[in-house]
Amino acid sequence: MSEIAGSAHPQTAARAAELARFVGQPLTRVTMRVEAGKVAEFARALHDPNPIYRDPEAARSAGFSNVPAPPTFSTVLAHYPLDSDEPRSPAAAVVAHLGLRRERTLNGAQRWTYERVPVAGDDLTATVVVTSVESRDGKSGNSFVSITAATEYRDRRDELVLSETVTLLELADVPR
Amino acid sequence: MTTMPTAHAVQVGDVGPALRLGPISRTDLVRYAGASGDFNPMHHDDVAAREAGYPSVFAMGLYLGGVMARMVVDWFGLAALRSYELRFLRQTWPQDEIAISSHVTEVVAGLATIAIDARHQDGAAMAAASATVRTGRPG
Repeated sequence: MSEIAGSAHPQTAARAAELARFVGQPLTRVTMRVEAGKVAEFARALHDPNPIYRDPEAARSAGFSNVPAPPTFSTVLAHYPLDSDEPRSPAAAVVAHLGLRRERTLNGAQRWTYERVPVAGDDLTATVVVTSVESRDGKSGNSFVSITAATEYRDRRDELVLSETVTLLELADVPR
Repeated sequence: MTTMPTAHAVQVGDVGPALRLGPISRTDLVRYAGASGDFNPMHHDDVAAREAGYPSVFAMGLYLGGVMARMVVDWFGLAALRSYELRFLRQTWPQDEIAISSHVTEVVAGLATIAIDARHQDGAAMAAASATVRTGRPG
């Protein structure tokens, strides 16, 4: 998506200014388990027949201590159904704290950097920080606020496993 | 099927796995919603999606992004993965058919960069992904 930094639309610029106060603020810190059943279910939803996601023996042959989480599995942790009314999971925390309009918020870009691949049984502690908020004008005339959040996932020994950044686009209007 | 994390001799331009995703059904989206926990109604509730101004539900970006990542895992093995990034260019809708392909764009110091392309049946690019993998070779 080609765009120009800083929206010319006053409402979009104002929305970015309103959200700018979240930059640098930790939004949540929560520990979640990588569950083998969820790994298999996630692989199935992606039409992926790879046995490493179902069979611990196949996983061990591929060099893992247990079934590994497929790439992008962190979305399962981000939407983890925590036993709480508080929006504590990474995705819920970003949406709730910033008050994002879910019906107009699209995923613009996402990046993962691996220290190691998470495996079933890992307890990962996620911390989420908003790193930037900008208003932009898209080519199509639609303007949007671009929100980038960084999540770190650390294991029980507090070692970094995975870092992730996501750029969400809160659109001024539903795209036509 | 399972790929061992062994050394791969790859060169810029080498072509890797490809697959055709779709036609995407609402069941695919609901199954992914349940698996991922992403219950934004825009992805499973046609009534809510139309009220918001969309013609129908549309796919979560990571549904396509997750399928695209498989090209690299099938080619090099998951243990080789160092980074993965996605840029979304267009929304994915029910009935879309998307051709996914992969090729090597860079090989430096034991690391290879793989580009994964996703193209709609109408020819438009849907998303661009790139992954860095360890090739296990110094070159």
